[in-house]
Amino acid sequence: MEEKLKKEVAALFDEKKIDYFVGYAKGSLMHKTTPLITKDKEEALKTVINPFIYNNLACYLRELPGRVGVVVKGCDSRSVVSLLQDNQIFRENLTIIGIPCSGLIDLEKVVSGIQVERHEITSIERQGDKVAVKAGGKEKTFEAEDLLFDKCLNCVLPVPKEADIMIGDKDSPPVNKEKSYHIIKKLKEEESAERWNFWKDQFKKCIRCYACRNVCPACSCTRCFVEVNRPQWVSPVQKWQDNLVFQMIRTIHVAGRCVDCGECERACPASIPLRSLQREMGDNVKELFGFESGMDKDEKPLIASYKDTDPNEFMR
Amino acid sequence: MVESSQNKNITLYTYSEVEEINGYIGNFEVKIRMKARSVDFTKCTGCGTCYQKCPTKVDSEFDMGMGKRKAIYIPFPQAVPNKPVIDREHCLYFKKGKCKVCEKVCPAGAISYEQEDEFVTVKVGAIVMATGFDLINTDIYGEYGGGRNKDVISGLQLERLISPSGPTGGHILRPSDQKEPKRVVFIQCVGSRDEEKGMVYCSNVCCMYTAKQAVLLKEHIPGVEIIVFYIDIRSGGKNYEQFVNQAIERYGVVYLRGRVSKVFEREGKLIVRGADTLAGTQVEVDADLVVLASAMIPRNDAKDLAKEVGIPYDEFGFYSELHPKLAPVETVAAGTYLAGACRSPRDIPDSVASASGAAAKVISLFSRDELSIEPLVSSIDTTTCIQCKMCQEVCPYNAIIQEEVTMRDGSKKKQMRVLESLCQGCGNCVATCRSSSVMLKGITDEQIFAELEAFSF
Amino acid sequence: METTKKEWQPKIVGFLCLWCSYSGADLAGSGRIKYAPNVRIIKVPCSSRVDPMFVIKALQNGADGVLVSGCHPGDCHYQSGNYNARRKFALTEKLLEIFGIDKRRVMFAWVAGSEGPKLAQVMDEISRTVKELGPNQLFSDKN
Repeated sequence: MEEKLKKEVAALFDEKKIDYFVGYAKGSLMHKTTPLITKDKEEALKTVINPFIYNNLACYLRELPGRVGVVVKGCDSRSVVSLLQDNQIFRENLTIIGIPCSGLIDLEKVVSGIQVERHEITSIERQGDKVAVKAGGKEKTFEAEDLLFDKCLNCVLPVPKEADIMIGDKDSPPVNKEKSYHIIKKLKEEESAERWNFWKDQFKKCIRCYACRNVCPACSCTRCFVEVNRPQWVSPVQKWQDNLVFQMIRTIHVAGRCVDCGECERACPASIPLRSLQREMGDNVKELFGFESGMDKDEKPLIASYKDTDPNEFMR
Repeated sequence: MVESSQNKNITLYTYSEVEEINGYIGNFEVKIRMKARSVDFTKCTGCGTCYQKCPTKVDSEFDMGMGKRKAIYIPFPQAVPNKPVIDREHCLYFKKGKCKVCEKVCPAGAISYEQEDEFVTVKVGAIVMATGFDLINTDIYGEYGGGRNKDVISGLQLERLISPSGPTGGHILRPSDQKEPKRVVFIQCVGSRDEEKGMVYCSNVCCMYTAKQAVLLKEHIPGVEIIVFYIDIRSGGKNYEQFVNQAIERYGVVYLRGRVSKVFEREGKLIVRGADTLAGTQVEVDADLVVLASAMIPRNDAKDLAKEVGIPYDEFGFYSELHPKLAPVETVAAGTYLAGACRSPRDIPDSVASASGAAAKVISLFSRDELSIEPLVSSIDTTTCIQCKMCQEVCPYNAIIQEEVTMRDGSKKKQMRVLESLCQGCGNCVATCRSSSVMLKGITDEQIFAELEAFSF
Repeated sequence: METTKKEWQPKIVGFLCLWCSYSGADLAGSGRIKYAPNVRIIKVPCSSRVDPMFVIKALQNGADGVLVSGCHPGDCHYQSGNYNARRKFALTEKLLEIFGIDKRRVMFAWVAGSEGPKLAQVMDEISRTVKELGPNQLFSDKN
């Protein structure tokens, strides 16, 4: 797959079809990858594909001028479509290179699974439904669904829909809705007061670094509402009340745009299960309005459109 | 009508429909569908030979189904322009491919069966809505015969019977047997002021036209007896009360206060059973003709047109004015005005007054080069706007545009802008903008925020 | 004789659209209809002017309840504002649910300009509900 991708990228540069390439490169830490954004063909050929290509590269597209070739997984392609709906990027400037995805491996799950330090892990190999991990002399084989990100276990679109070039065939991660939803499910069963207390405790940890916002492709504003000071919606002091309000308003703002790429949760240094919030909101959006983010680029954005038949029962 | 058709500043588009309206006050573009008439108007002289010879007879809409017209026809003798159209639904040639009598007899060679709908786009500065009204279908009233009895007619049908150019040539003959009625019963408020089956509102005109028709009947048919069943007599208008009094006192029209519970046939007579609430008794009278004062309702496609024009309407479909007292002919859509019964049921003097008002508004609009508007309009901070165009999507007035501007260094840049002449200040764009780049002057987020804080919880 | 303790009264913010609900309130007033005095009204041009942020901020500022009211669907003075607003409101309600705020504290209503009695009813209803729920302690640091 990687070889085919390199060939396609080289061809795109040779035929002068793209000015920029956005893909993944090997990271400085073992197993990790880092976004690769380059104008240079040789540099672009360092691109990799492996089960650790976490980043949702759609979030870089807004700021790149000219024509861009971008590598997308299924979830990323939904972000791209969502940005197209929002007029943030334009289809004619994009060459979308799609990769079917069989799920991404969560290094933290690997570490906690094999009980060694991360630097001691020497190899992680995906073999179908199994993952073989070698670390510090030990070797252990896991079920893939034990090591994949929660979000991957209920993936809506493993194969990108809106793509110009497809690398590889159909592929999809194992489905385990139970696991993917364990936090949402637990909270749903609780009383609302307990739920509130759960989030209250979570947001006491928040350091308001805005990593969740910065990494989110749906957060495309150049000035976020938190930076508006007349009026000041959210105090800059990191009190849990304001942290919580920030995330509440963010949840509303990305509703109908969030594609459950899970980047907010992965980027959060305080390990707040942010994805659960967004995913539940996304499910509600689908249930209420039959709207799924990033599926059809010709669809109108959620908030900018309406139907006569939208739910009305909740109104007095 | 003839006069307006001859005015050089007036272009009439008859037999036409509005397809699409774009633009804004002073700069509307209206796309009009001119329906195929199958008659070339540049050649037609209006001689009328075609509709004399046409073999197909159809119920005349203008005569409320009591008379006949041909498949090629003019709706009524004084119609403007006085040139016929072919009703393709009933024309033999269009139905069966044979006939072409009109083509043969037309001395001007004006018949053109191949004609198609044409579209024309006109630029106008203002729009006056004058779509009028329909009558409620009284067939829903089973107690009044439900439309089965030919001699239970509407006020408008009686109007045609009285008219010298009507189906009976002005002789009042009841539809079933063409005999002159000796006793006529009028029933008021059929469909009006009726929460159960009809409309809750008062149709405004029925009391007066009933009094008028009663007087006319009295003058036409010597010795005719007239009984009017009413709820209230509403005669608020100049000389109206005197007119009703005259009908009662001088002409001897009998007014009975009460509702009619049933109209049915017995031995060739219509029996009207009702209450006289003033006397506190049941009444049963036999009548030759029953006239229902049916409610005025909006035109059936009034709502569709309103959506196209961008004006709101009430729960019935009557167009909403900007303000019931202070701006009765204006609408929320700047440059669009209301005249006549499309706003609410009204009689001729009121319709003329509102039409004059609307015309005066248009003239005063056109007499100035600049426009004064409400100050509560939106504006966009282009430095923080990301041009997601959500505001444009939600704006009901198309008041937000993307335009290309030249920067100080000569470079070009796209920006969003609010057209202040169109903005009505609803604030939908403000609440939709995620980055708070849109602001509604006078009702800013900051002001609402201050209100929230001022409650000092 | 027992001393009457002053009963706790909830403070509720009401965002009322100018054309329907606010007129409804006017009508209720001129009709001398009695209703609970707990709702403090903020007049907005249209229910679509109400940003979900307002609701959240009102709760954070300590309001015990929030009422948002506009014209019935199809009756919007601005044609389609309330349809757009309805989507936002539906999302807001779900948001409250997700975060664990009792959604009875926030009420969305359609009240027409001619519905003075309904407005009074709505006001009474939210006042009663919020009174039962007790003071809004959600954002307080105490517990």
